[in-house]
Amino acid sequence: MNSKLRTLANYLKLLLPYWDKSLLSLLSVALSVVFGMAAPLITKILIDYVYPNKDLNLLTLLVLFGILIFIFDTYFSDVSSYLDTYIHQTLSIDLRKKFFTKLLRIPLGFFYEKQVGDIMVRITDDIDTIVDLAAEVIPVIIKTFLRLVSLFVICLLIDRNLTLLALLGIPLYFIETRFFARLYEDIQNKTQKQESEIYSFYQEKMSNIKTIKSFNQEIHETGRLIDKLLKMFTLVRENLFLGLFNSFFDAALITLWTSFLGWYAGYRVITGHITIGEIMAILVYLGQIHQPFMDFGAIYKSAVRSSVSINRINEIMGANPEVYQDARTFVLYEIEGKVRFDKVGFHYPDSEEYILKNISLTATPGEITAIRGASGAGESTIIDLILRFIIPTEGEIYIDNYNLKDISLMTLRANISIVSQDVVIFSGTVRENLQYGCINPSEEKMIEAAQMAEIHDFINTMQNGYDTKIGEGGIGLSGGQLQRLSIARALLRNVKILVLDEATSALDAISESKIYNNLKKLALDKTMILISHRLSTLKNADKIYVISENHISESGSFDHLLGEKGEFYEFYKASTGKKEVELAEEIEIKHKVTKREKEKEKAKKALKLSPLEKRVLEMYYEEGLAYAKIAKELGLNPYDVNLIRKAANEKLKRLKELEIED
Amino acid sequence: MRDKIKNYFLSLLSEDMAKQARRVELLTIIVFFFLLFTVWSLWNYKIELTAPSDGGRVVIAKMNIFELLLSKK
Repeated sequence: MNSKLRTLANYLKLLLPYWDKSLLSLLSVALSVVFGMAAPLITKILIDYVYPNKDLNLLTLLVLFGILIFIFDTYFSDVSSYLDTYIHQTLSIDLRKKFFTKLLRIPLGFFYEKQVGDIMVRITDDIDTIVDLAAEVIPVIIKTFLRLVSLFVICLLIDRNLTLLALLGIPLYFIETRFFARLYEDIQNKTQKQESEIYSFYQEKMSNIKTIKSFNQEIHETGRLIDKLLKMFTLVRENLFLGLFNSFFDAALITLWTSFLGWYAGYRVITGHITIGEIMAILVYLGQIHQPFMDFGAIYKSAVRSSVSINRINEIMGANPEVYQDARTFVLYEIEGKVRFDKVGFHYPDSEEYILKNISLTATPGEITAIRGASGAGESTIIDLILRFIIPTEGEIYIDNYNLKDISLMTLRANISIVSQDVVIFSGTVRENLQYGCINPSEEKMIEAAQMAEIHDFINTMQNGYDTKIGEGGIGLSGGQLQRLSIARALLRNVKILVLDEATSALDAISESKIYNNLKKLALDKTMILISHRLSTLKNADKIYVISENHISESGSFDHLLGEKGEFYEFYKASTGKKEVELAEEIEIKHKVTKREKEKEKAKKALKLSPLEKRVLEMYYEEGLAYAKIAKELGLNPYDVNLIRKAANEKLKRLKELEIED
Repeated sequence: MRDKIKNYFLSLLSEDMAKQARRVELLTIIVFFFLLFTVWSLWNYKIELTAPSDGGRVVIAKMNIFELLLSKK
């Protein structure tokens, strides 16, 4: 309980910025309570003095006094409501901001264990409950307390015996309230969990509506929802019954108690201890005592509900956030972009089973590095590791020569662009989506990125071009268009490390080839990491790492891996549907072609003209000089100049032949 | 008249809430001082309680309204 009170105290601290308004609201509440006490006292004077003595002047004065009290009461009561609402609303915004900021900074691992609906309930219902407690219940407690104290003070002044007897009933009421509150806490817990489950259910089904429809599961899913709603209904009914029992016992206790007090008050009048006016006033006050006690009961239940919410919110507020930047972290300013995994292993904290084990790989700037594995082999985990969504269980990851653990998270992610297989487009315009996360984007760069992603022409065909609304509430896009948009968004950030996770899976071969041709030009000063199962994509890579059973089984160029006749060869065979003999021929041809290309490359290098040869040709053909003049200028003899010219011509002729062959 | 009330209501809604709250606070403080003044005036104003007698109404007590309300007599 102490920890709960501490937590509650922490949340009450949230009220500190509004101390002036809170204080004024409490003062207004206190005044309103005092004014509310006046009416029975006026009635008492009227009955005991004004009417028997026929004092018309005092009657007029008391009526005017009553009107004055009413005006002040209404004003201060309204001011209190206004200020409470103001505090409630602003506090709600503050707390939601704090919670949302924290939520976005929690490591990704936290979200793997939680359902989206559950988090949604925490953002909405749980925060509301806490805000209600902090902003509204405190004034109600004070108001109730003040009302009770005022009632008892006035009652004590009127009749001490009757009031002291009335006080004896309070402990009984608290015992009864506490008994029900304990039962209520348990039901409240279950209800909030069930609410989260229903939210998650809606969220999941709405996100996967296509799958539900395509499997004809509409009726089945409705049935599942009804099951959950019925469970909720049972809990609501439990809540209702408990509430009814509670109200019944409340009312019975208070009725019995006030009846007894009423009888005793009558007895005091009959025996001449108090006047009729006094008993009228005291009975009105005792009638009013009922309300504060009911309020206390409601507050207690609200506090119980809040304590459940506080625990749920605390789970998130207390979670360790990702360390974005501190004195120990390196700030990545200008990097080359080399990514190196050194014997990296990873498994989730709640499991012993490794997702990745002993992974060592290097993605070099200027090259396209591909990672290929069977579904669920852990390739996407590699991306999560690079972006430090998760931390390696063993081994180290380096960007250039900086250990990933020591890099400022903010600058790490600022240097990496990712195109994920699940394309996320936010509701907004094409421009807003392209410029997402981009600092000072220019129009030209945006268009250039869109052109590289082969989406610029399509955007121009849209009604408002780059200002067309897309996503939720906007026009729908095909899978391929979404992927191209996502690629353009990643390219616009102009970072050193570009990760493409099945980024072109929804594109046709021609579009894919065009995009990769564009990307290859970009890759000259970037590190590009591809994750793909598609042969057409993997062909673009300079180096391929094959992940099998959580470790790297093969690595090398496309042709090299085919030659190895390992897992990649099997994958190639299965993907192309070619027979062993055909593949052997194809590999043979590929090897020959590669060998030939290498030889050509070598020959071309050998046939490169030297500066002297270039100069001789220039002077002979362009400037039209004779051998003697060239020889004189270059310090050679004319015979050598002739030999050089012939050799250079021979080289050029051979180069031309090689180019024709290409 | 109806339009005037409507416009006034709309202008209240369109106001910046923080500024409005600040104004309400100031107004409440002024009203609070006015209340203190009223209480002080009432405290000093002695009501004469009279009762009918053979020679007309006679004053039986003098007290302020607060004393009167809490009086046991």
